[in-house]
Amino acid sequence: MEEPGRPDETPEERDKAKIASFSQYVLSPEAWFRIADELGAAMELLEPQIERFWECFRADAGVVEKKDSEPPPNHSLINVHMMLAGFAIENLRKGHLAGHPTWKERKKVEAGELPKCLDGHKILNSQGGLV
Amino acid sequence: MTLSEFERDLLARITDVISWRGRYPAPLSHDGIVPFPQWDGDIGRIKTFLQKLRAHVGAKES
Repeated sequence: MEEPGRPDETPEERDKAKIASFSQYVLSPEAWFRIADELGAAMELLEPQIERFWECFRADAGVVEKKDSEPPPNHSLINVHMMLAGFAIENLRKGHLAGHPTWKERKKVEAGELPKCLDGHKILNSQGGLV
Repeated sequence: MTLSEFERDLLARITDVISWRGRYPAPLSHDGIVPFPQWDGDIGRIKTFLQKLRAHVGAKES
């Protein structure tokens, strides 16, 4: 959360404080990992409905016997769950990178900009390995 | 971190979901319309992968 500035703070001082706060967050692996934890907690909330979707799917396909007469859920939520997983993976990977920045990357962050390695949602590289 | 063939497949599908399937009805181009398998064991596979990645990057278990 942004702290309120002093009333007599100049725009330059305000900018400097913003950059300090930005680089503190960006270079903190724990900050990235904390977001990954939150995304993981949100995934867990969706899992019972996804399980229920598959249960109904198996019953409709005749693979298992129908246990109850409850209608299947309107939404499977499978893709939303996977998307959250992707964002959690991204945050874990970026947390790791944030803990080991190159000199160039650190300089960029300290200038108030996100280095390329911490930008975007890419998970796999062109060789099929983890980015 | 070394990825198994299965993990690579899982991450490729997750990449697809992040890019559009999880939030839009269509991709940026018709080229993106391809078969997309979903497996009922994916929740477990995703959990296992996240645990492995957490250990690799040194993130504490939440």
